[in-house]
Amino acid sequence: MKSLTLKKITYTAVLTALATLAFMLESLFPPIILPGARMGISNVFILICTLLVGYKYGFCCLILKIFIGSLFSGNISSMMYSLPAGLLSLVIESILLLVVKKVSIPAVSVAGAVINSTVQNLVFCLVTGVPEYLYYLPYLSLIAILSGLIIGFTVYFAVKKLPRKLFLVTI
Amino acid sequence: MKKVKQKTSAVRDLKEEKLFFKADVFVYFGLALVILCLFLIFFFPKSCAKDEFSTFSVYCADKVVLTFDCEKDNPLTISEDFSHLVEHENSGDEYIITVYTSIDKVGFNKIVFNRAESSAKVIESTCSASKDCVYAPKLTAAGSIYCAPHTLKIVKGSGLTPPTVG
Repeated sequence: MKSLTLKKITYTAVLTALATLAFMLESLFPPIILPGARMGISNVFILICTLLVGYKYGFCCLILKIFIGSLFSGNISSMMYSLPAGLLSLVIESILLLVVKKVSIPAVSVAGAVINSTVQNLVFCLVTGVPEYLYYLPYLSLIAILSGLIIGFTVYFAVKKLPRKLFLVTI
Repeated sequence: MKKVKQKTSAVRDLKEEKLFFKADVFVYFGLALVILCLFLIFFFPKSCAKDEFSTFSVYCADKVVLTFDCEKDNPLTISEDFSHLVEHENSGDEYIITVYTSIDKVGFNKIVFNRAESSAKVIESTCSASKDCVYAPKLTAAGSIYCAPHTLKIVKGSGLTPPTVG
């Protein structure tokens, strides 16, 4: 039991490090067409963490990635927008995986991506008091569908290739 | 023994999972509906078709730093409270204005105003690695550019009008 918990913590730590690295590398690239639009490559590792290790550890991975990534990239204010958005999208993804069950990984990823970008934009407009950025919402959602599909397919094929002994939980 | 069996069946479930399920249709349909509603709310309503505004306002933490009126001969008006934090140079119709975040002049946003085009764009910034304000589209129609780390806002016109996309 202890060794299983230790394995879970180790997996989470490694995946958190990878997610943080991906987040920081991504922040160096210009946004896709619109300000604030990103691929969300770090979500690959968060979703893999949720599938391999479990929901609690997936949430830990997400929170740590946002916190450490914001600190290291020098944009602490981004925590205000990405934390509620990330948490809500992971809740929706977890519900789709746990409750609905018969939803494929790409569809789960797309739903999470759209929720993430929508909530992030809404919180940004509320916090900054710049309602004009609400007009980016439809375009950001379209970009989120594309990025969600790419991330979803990546996770799907990665899960297929990973050895069985790496799966520590049941879904 | 039971737990191991459950784990194996779950592993088999994920590893033999299909790429597409029938339930995915509901997810995609729901998302399409949400996006359609967003377009109906934000894209199609009538807004200022013509650009009626020629004045830009630059705010820092909701305080007016400067205004730039494209129709005036001396378009630039700098607020007294921020006069020590603003530098400007101009060549013809282009005005390059540097707004510093503090007296030590380490952090800044460099904005280019064009009188002829009635446009504004952030060309350089020390805000963060992502520099969303620099990659924001040029402000030609009514709208705004916002730099979150520096709490800098460049506004043209007023009210809810769609910013230029791309």
